Amino acid sequence: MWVEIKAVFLKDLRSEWRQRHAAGSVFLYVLASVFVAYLAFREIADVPTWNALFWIISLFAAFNAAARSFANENGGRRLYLYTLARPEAVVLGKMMYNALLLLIMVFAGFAFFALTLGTVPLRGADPAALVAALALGSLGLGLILTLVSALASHTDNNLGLMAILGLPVILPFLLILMRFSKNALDGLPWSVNGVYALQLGAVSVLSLALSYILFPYLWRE
Amino acid sequence: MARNWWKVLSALLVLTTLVIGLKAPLAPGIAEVSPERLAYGVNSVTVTGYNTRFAEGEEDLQVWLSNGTQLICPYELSVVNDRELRATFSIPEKTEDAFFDLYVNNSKDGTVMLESAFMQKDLTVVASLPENERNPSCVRKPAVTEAAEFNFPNQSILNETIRNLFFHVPAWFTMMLLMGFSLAYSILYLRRSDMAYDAKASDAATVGLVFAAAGLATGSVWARFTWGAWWVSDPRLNGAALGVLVYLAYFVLKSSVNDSEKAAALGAVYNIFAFVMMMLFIMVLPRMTDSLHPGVGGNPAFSQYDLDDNMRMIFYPAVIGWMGIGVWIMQLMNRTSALKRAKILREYA
Amino acid sequence: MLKHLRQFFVLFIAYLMTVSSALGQDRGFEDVMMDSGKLNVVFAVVVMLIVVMIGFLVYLDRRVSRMERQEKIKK
Repeated sequence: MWVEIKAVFLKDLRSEWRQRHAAGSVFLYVLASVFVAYLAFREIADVPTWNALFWIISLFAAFNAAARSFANENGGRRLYLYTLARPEAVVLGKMMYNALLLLIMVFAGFAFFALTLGTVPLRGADPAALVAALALGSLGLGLILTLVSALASHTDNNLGLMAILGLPVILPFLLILMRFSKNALDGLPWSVNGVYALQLGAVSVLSLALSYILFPYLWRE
Repeated sequence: MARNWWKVLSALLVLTTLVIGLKAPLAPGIAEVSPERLAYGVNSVTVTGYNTRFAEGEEDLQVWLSNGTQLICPYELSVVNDRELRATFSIPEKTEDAFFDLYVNNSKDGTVMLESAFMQKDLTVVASLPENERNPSCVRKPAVTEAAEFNFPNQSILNETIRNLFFHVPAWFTMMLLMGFSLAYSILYLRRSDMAYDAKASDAATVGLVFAAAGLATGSVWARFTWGAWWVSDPRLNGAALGVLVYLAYFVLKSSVNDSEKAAALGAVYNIFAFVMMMLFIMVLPRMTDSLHPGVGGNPAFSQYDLDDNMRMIFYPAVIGWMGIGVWIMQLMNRTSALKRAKILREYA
Repeated sequence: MLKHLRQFFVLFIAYLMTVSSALGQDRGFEDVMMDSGKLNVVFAVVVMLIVVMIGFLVYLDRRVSRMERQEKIKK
């Protein structure tokens, strides 16, 4: 099983590397969105606004990134992947790959965001909690959106349907995430904030389990 | 007929709860008093009742004010009509509380009370009065303490809208039941790959959405009355809106795939995934923020509305009745779609 | 039959909207409605709608049952 997951993961990594411009487009999307926000706001000193804007940009970037994860797997390629690995392994490999991609993207996006829109809200932040928020957030977004992307990839209108299907499912996670990251920016102690981290982790694990159970049914189609 | 007893039962329950729920009066109450402040000395006040029968029960009418341990009776009392009476009180210089509660009792209305009806004006409020300054109790033990006829509690702010409980809550309960059916049929579809289950799942979701619309409409009207706005940003309300969005997305997903078996599998997977995520949301989110809505965030569902025995007597049958109607509509849709499938099969054969 | 149901749902929602818009008026509205007895008209309309809805369900139920019996014979 692990071998198969690793194979799928590495295959995605390699094919991404060969199409660097495609992966680059997601990064460019983040950069462009942040730049637009910069032109519109110049500097945001208000913590909730700063936090919300960052996660909204990340959310749409995550949608973009996840939408691509199954876009290449149609026809012959899908058949090939089918011979290569079990469906459970495919979905777990894809999820890991998406989570990794988003992890890099969110951290890079955060750095750029802080650079352009000001670091005023970061002054009172708890660095460990903030890193945890970024990591858990990108992990969860990547995991949850992978299954949604698998669903949407079976239809013609991939990206549009992705938003319709994904938003109501991801919104609860996003609200907890925004609360957690705002508390981290405000420097609240772990005793208060820890419960949100736990909830984020629980949602991620749950979506992992659900995808593991449900994906094989999709794969057959 | 023997197999349809539950349909007859739910139709009867819905009709009876509808009639009683809308027609039974609210308990008598005090709508307003004027003036609203009492000063030292003689004070003449007008009391306006709601659903009261002051004139009919005039012979044993009692009115008194309560303030801390003190009871104050009027030395002059006159009934204008069923809904209005005038009382003149002599207010002492010292009181134990800044607010006076007003009580009215007669044999027709029972005891009617308005909490903090009057506020003190230029009186001396002390922690407790010495024994010799207390008034002796002037109130006779009332013969009747509750109105004779069947009625619903008369609560401030809610007033007549308390009846909406019989329509708003059953609508949501029915929606949840139907979404539960939809989930169960989706799971069955994935296990057995029988298209009949897919049709059942989407029928259940369709009827569930209609009940959700009813729940949203009745809730919105209620919110306008009690909270002052058609929609307030509240975890329970936003959760309900999200739930509706999920099922709309489910239908969009199903309609955007041409191959019906593929659409069925995609829909079933999304239905299960979204349902679990929604449940999680409903369990977790209300604890994050405070909610106005009863039943959320340690805010018990009914205690606020004093779901008394009269309310229960109508509320539970209403829930059962509307659930029955919902399942009936779902069953009809299931049967029509089964007929349609049979017809298509026959035409192809 | 589905078309019927759809029409019925539209009617139902339209009814909910009329009721809610009427109820959205300012205070004092309910006194007018009660004192003039107009509330009884509203009550009658609501009860009639529900009765019609149940009658419609009964009609549909019988029709579907009849079709199901025919379906069985054809088999």
